[in-house]
Formats: sequence, structure tokens, C-alpha cells
Amino acid sequence: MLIVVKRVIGALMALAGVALTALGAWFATQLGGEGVARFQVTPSSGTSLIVLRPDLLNRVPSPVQISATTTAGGTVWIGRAGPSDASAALGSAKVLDVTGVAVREWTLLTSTTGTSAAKPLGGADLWREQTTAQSSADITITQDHAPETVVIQATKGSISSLTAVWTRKTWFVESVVALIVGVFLAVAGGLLLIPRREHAGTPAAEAEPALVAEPAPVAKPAPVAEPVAVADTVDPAESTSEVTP
Amino acid sequence: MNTTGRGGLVRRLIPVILTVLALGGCGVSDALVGVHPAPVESPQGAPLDADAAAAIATRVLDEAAAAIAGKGKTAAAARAAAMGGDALVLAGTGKASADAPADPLSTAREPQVLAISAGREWPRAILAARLDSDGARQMLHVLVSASAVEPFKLVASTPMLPGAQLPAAGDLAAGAPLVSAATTLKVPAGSGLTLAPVQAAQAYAAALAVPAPKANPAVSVKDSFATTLATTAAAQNKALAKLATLTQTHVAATKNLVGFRLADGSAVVFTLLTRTDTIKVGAGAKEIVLPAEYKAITGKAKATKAVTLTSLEPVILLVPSAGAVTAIGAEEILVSGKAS
Repeated sequence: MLIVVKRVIGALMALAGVALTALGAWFATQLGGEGVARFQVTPSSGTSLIVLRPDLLNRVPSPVQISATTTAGGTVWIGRAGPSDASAALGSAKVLDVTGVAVREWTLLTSTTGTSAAKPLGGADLWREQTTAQSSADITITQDHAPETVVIQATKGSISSLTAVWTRKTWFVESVVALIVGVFLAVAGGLLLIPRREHAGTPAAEAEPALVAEPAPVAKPAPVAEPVAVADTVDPAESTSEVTP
Repeated sequence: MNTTGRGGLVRRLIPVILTVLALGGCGVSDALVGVHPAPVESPQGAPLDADAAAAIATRVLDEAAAAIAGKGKTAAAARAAAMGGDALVLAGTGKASADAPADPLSTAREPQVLAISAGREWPRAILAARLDSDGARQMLHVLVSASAVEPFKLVASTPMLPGAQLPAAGDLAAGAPLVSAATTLKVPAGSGLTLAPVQAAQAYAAALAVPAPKANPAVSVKDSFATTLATTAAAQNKALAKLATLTQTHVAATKNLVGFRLADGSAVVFTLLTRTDTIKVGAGAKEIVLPAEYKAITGKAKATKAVTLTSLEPVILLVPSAGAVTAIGAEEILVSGKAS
């Protein structure tokens, strides 16, 4: 019973170790030494307004850089503001809402909300920071004024790509640690799966004997000569009885 | 003692412990990768920080100063873009004094932000102080953003009276409650005002009338503006003697009234009074000769019946939570007149 339990635990450890090793190796190679997580999305044609909210921007204590590129000849405007201010400015405008990230594919998850046409947003005084540029622009959220919302508007053309980059060296370190721990677990689990053998000089407590020698047959005792009856003086010529040993 | 039995127990426990640790660490928890819930926005406090408010005040005041002096439709459009409320009314008369934009290389006329309205709703307002272009008078300016998509505009711009003091508005980050024409006395107990802002303006205006001011114990007219008005009116009546009589009425135009609650519970209120000076030629006089200023505004050198002069008086009233309302800022701008 004990052997079965050990082997089950060993198998679980080995599986966990292999999984952790694979996960750690994958993240380490994907993130690189600087721990850069880059997510991207290509909006559908005609997208002119994108919003990134605190649930995406302010959940990791690291700066996040947002970059947007327009179609050829376009102009892009990016602004950051408090969440309620940004929502008030957007109203019911049709926006592409970035709702999360897909780590396996390194993509941004989006959904479309709102219905009305967007008005130019750059003239309002609620933006804490805003930038306008031809073709592409970027903004960095430092987390100092969280929570914040970032709004991206193509004042000319439409938005052709959006990238969000988080840089956190801790992630690379953690992935390497996971890889090492995974290897250790896999090895330890494997060792538990391998049957153990007795070694010379090691105490054989509780070890079953390898060979049980059968006891040597007990030797029959040598026959004891019965004493010969000693006849009285007998004339040999006259005696007729046989003398038997 | 059986030492092999104890060592075997330990060796049995080690894989169990390691398995627990491994399985516990294998799940990539949010805490492990540093992911936490997004912070929640506070609905309280000022919606802008002091630096942002100062930058907005600088931009708006300079835009307004540049727009006041111009003439024609283009200038009118520029004024409408930079100004609103009573400031736009005064600018539209063409008589408001033009304040020169500040020198961007000089800090002498950088606006000082005194208060920012509290909360996340609109309208939002900024109270700022800046010396006028002559450096002689301390001007108080109110900027208002009416909605999320509208930038701040200058809605009130009034000089402080010599020696007047404005109580502190408190921590800028905490914000100051906004006061408007709709603010009544129905406020939480212990934080009320002696008069509602509109009533305060009406009572002050009535207390300035000549020859029969309507005194109100809740309003003080001992400020330099009211004293000067009374002294000047008295001197003019004395000079006119029996040839003519001067009457002066002040009416509070509170449609664009705006203000802030201050840290001590009082309120600083910006509003506009319309003053009408009527000089009626007496029966014993044939005509009166108008001074140059009146001649310029009326287009006539003499009047045989009456002269009516209209002035706009932007005023700053301090409405306390206890005590009398006082004026801490005011000026008069003669905008129109007629003589008959």
C-alpha cells in the first residue's frame, strides 16, 4: 500500500514538474530578459475610437506603453483621463473597448460598445495628457495617477493597429524560477517512481531474506553394536548353537 | 530504539510536502505575477490637480485678453470661444478694459489657483488670481467648464478692492463646493449662509441706491466701493444743487452668478449689478452741460430734460455663515447713455 501511494505521489510530482518546466521555459523565451509582454490587436476596418480602461491598464504595478497606428495618411490622437471623465467625454459614442489580454496568443481582447458617432475629443480640458501625431503615436501610463482611462481617436483615417506593452523584469525571473522548480519536481517525482534496491553494508532491517537455506539433514546415529552374549566355558566341540553377532 | 522506523516516516512525509508545495505553486495566481484589482476612482475631491488648473487658467486668461480688444465678427467669435457668463456680457459692450496676455517668459503674472470646484460632475470651475497688466490691481477670475466636451471659459473677472481679503478656500485637492444662482439656504445644518447668494446680491444692490438706500442688517456697505459711490453721488447732487437731481438705482443681474464655498463656511460670489444714473433737469434750469465723459457716451453736449447713464458693475461679495455680507471686489464700467 505504501509503495502504491509513493508511486502515485511521484507521478503527480513528475507531471507537475514537467508542466512547470514547460511553462517556465515558454514564458522565459517569450518575455525575454527584460520581461516584456507585448499584446497587439488589428481593429476591424473603419475603427476610429478605442478605449482602454483601468481594468486593463492599472492591474499591474508597472508602466504600460500604448501605441496606435493609423492607416496611410491618418492622424491619431491619444489622451488619458480619469475613468469618469473619459466616460463623460465619450458619451454613447461607438468605441472599440479593449477588455483584456490573451496570453497564449499575445493579443488584446476587444468588444464594441456604443452607437453614436464620435466627436473630436481633444478640445476638452479633462485630459491629463494628450498627444497628436501623424500615422502613429504612443503614451505611457505610469500608474502614479491610477485609475486612468486611455482614449485613442483617429482624427483622420482609421486605426490599423494597437499595441500594449508591459515591462516587468520580475516576470522573467519568476519564469526561470518556475523552470528550475519544475525540473526539481520532475526529478524528485521520477526518483519516487523508480523501485529501490538493498546495498551492502546497509542495514537490512525489515528486508526479506534472499534465500532460505533448508536445514541440513540430521545424520542418523551410527549403529551401536549389541554386546555379544558371553557364554560360560563351552567346549567348542560340543556346542551346536550358532553364535550370531 | 528503532531509528530506521523514524527515518522511514520522514522519507514518507517529504514527497507529500513537496507535492503540496508544487501543486500550490503550479497554479499561476494573480499574486504571483503581480496582478491586482484596479483601484477605484474616488468621487470626492477636485477633478484637476493644481498644476493642470494653473495651466488651464494661463491659457484661458491669455486667450480672453487677446480676444477682448478685437472688433468685428472674428473678434466676437474669439470672445465667445474664450469667454462666457458676465465676462462675455462685459466684453460685448466694448468698454471692458483689455488685460494684456502674460509674458510667457515672466513669472510675475502667473495665475495663482485659489480654488477648484469639488466632485466629478459638471459644471466645473477654477478660481484664480492674477495681477492686471499694470501690476496695480489684484484680479480674481472665475473659469467654468459647462460640460465634459467644453473647455474652460472665463466667466468673471473682477478687481479686488484695496485692502480687501479673501478667506482661504482650503486644500486644493479637496476641492471647494460650487455656488450658483440656484444655491439656496437649504443646506445641511451648521453649514448655511446668512443669505442665499442671489438674495445677498439683491440686498447689496438695494443698499446702494441714491437717494434712498434700502438698508439691510445682513449687508454692509462700508466697503470702499459703496462708500465711493455714496460720496460721489452726494457731491454730484450738491454740485447740481437745484438745477437737477441725481437718482441712482442698482439692480442685481444674477443669471450668471457663480461662486465657491470657502474653508470657513463662507461663500465668495461673483455677480453683476446694473446701475442706472438718471439726472433730471430741474424746473429752474434750462439745460445742463455734460462733461466730456458723458458727452462721449451720449453723443450730446447738453441735455434739456434728462440724462440716463447705464453702467455695469461686476462685484465680488463675501457671504459669511454668520455676520454681514461685504463686497471685496468691484468696478464700474460705463457702457451706454442717452441725453434728451
